[in-house]
Amino acid sequence: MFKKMKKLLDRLMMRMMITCEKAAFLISKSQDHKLTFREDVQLRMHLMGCRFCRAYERDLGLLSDSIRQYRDKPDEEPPIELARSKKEKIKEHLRDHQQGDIDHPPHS
Amino acid sequence: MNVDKLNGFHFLCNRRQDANDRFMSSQDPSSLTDPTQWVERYGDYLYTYAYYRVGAVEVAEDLVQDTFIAALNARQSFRGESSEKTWLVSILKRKIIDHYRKETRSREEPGDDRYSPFVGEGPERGKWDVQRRPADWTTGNTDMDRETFYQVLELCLSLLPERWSGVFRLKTLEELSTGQICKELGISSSNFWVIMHRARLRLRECFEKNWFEA
Repeated sequence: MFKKMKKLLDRLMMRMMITCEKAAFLISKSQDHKLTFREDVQLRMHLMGCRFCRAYERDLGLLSDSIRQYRDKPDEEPPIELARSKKEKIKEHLRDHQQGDIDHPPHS
Repeated sequence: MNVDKLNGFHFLCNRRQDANDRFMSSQDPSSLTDPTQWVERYGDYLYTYAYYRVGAVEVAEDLVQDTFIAALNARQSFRGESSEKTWLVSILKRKIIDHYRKETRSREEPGDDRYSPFVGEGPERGKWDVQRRPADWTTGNTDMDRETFYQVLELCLSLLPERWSGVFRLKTLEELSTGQICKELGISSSNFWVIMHRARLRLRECFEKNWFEA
């Protein structure tokens, strides 16, 4: 009876064991999406025993925090100037397009 | 004519919306400025916005040009509900998504990942390669100034396969939903998760090399 239970438990544990590769995949997934219960248990168990994956999780967290900070303040981006030549070219394009407009029919 | 008043008028008459739209676009040119002035007024702003999202000068320039032309063609649909600038940015955003869609369709990446940081076979299969185990950044000096962070991010994104960086940018910078990205780029959701996973593995490693060890 005890042996049987141990065997069952071992099998259950084996099922919950995942590789670092799978753990890294789940860490990435968890950043955008809620994990399923099973995935969540698998990941937690793996992280308990693996300091490299724990480091990976922290690194990714730091990376997405930084990206988020960056993204949420778009007006703080150092402005870059559009090249003068390109500006003139775009203006020309716009004038051409306007010429053919129904609102401004070309004089014939 | 005052834009707020017009909007109020618009609201009151929303039952006759179609007729009203035609009325507004023909009667109210004051809600939009002359298109030829757009370039001087918003050119740099839109270019900056685009450049920080696509990371390539020519692409960003073309996106700005496409945006202005699309805006010119669509100006009848401008309702004055947002500012002219916001309106132009919304058109540019659409252009950026279209750009990634084209990029993604035109380039297929090989299915296998030759740059995997995991052991490929043997009893250690699936474990981190000893040389490439992640270091814990949070214990070191992680002060990042904004501009340098951005430069490193751009560098690292540019080293990814185009398809991956497109997916990653749309998700994290444009904040599109997973469903939307899969639909726009024509990829399955499981494919999406694998791409994000691989992109992050490489980005993290790239940051470690170019930032934390610098």
